[in-house]
Amino acid sequence: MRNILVIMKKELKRFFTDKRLLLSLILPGVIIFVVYSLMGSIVNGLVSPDKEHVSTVYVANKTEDFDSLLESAGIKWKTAEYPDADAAKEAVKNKKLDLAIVFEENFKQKTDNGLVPTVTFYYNSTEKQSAAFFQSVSPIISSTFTTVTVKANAVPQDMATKEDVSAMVITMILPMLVLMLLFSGCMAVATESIAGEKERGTIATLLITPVKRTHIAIGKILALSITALLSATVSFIGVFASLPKLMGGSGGNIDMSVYGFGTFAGTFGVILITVILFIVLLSVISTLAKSVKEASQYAAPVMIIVMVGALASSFGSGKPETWQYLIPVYNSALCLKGLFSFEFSALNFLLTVGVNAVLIAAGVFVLARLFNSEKIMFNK
Amino acid sequence: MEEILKVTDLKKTFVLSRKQQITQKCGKYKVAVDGLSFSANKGEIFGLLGPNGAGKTTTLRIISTLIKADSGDAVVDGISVKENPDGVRAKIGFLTSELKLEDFFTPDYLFDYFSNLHGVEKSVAEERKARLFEKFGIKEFAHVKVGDLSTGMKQKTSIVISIVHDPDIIIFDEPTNGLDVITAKAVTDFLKELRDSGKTIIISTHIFSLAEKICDRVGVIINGKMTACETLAYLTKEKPLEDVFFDLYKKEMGEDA
Ligand SMILES: Nc1ncnc2c1ncn2[C@@H]1O[C@H](COP(=O)(O)OP(=O)(O)O)[C@@H](O)[C@H]1O
Ligand SMILES: [Mg+2]
Repeated sequence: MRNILVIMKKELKRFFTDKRLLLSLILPGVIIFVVYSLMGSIVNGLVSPDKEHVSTVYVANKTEDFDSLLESAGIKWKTAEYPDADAAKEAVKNKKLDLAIVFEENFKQKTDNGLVPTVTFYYNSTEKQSAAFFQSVSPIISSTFTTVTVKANAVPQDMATKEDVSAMVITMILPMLVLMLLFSGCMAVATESIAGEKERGTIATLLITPVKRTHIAIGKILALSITALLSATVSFIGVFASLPKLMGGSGGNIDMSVYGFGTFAGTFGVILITVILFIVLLSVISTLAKSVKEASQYAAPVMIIVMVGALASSFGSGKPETWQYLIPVYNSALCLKGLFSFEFSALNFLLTVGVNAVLIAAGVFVLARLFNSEKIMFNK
Repeated sequence: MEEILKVTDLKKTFVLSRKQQITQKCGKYKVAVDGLSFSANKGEIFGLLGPNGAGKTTTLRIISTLIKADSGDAVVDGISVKENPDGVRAKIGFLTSELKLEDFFTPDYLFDYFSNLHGVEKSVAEERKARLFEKFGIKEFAHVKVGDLSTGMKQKTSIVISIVHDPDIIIFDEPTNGLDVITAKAVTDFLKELRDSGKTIIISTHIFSLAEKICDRVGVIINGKMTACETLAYLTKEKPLEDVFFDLYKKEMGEDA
């Protein structure tokens, strides 16, 4: 037990006091931020709403001060007439109309009486004019009725059809992005720490001590997991910091506050177990390899398999079957997807964690066996 | 005389890679150690003497549990390398060029790290570190990263690290290789000192003068076989060690031819 800690501490010291290594852990996050922001700027430049366009809006149960509110904010618009709200919604969906605003009946009266009536915005995130107009109008309405009177529920309704929602695409590729970032972070540290030590002959010095091979394996895995998590965290910060820019005007109001503590805790749990699994897998690969270079070569196809697994989870339509949570990597991706779309299931979560934990234990056992094999440890 | 190491009928065959087959000009297999037996007594310096490629390092690697023999066994202070390698590792200190220290760390840090792994009590480790660092002049570069040290400094550090746990049996493979005369003398003096304090030392060397200078008993290895294993005094009764070796060598190679 004590030796696990001793080994772990040394490994962490190695990673966290070596400027070059530290940089290699932080750099991916920085690069992601720069590239994504740049990509966002370019894409948004292409799709930014044109200034000449005058947005059309349909308003049901319009309040008296609606026009003056928008005018004082300097917004230009045209009112469109539709037989009813449903027809207007349909028009938003078909990109004929930019925005439909439906105030609850007797809205003003209700707010005056201290009630909280609803105002619903129907917009289309795939239509840049619509999304931009929604973004400029909705704050005016909601802030007016929260500060001036009591409070109004402003409910945005994205009328975009499923197939072409950019926001949906982002949540779809998010699990894959997360898994890829995690894997590459794990790859960097595991190959360096195990194949690197093997290549340089320093692991033999450790193997000549009476420390149990399982303890060496566990100590390394824990330290590597912590390091990989740090690297992944930096990458996430990079992704999230660049997200607003990346998504620009097109439905870019990803509001992280909609995710409660449970979602974050669940996400962290899935990420943690997945990182440890990756580290164990990559440690085994690194042990089998003769050098860091060879380890990276072996890991490349594994990364492709991980990507395919994660990607497959994005395309799966409908509710995944329970047995699908028994497939490693795929189950992590499904869990992440579920967590972010509020379809969390405790059973699936536990299955995912359980399956991965079993694999991790098996991996530690294999790793310890490999450390004991002279053919593998001294295969120069 | 108490026997503390007993090696019986050790055999080790390496499977050669294609590249090795070309460079070594031999077949698929290389018998590195061929039915080797010997024993060492407590409190002596035992030397494995032999030319390059005789199988000295391989023998010491097997005794130190780094690799496994195909057959035969080595029993270290009553513990078999086959049955309880962890137990053997706790008893011995092993030095060979294959065991490298991480470039990134300092001798000071590595000493503490390995002391910790061997479960040496902190105060004991501190005292031992001060004494050994002083003796080998490591103090001046104790806080310099291993990667920035010279070969000699690295070797001194490796020696000290290999005995952090004050083992009773010390196995040094070619301990003076690559050292300047002054450092080499410091090492041989240290080995004698350890012997005088009751430790058992097993060294390998291809240098006759070193064997003559410090060994109590010598085993001459040629082609993975023990051709003679006697006290130094007995071996060199009539001729210098070098002549004794060449007689043995001719006999061994003659048999082969
Ligand atoms: N890992 C290995 N793979 C293949 N051949 C080896 C290996 N280790 C040693 N040998 C061969 O075994 C023989 C004995 O080597 P070694 O024990 O290092 O000799 P010595 O230390 O006496 O110089 C040599 O011919 C060497 O090439
Ligand atoms: Mg040798």
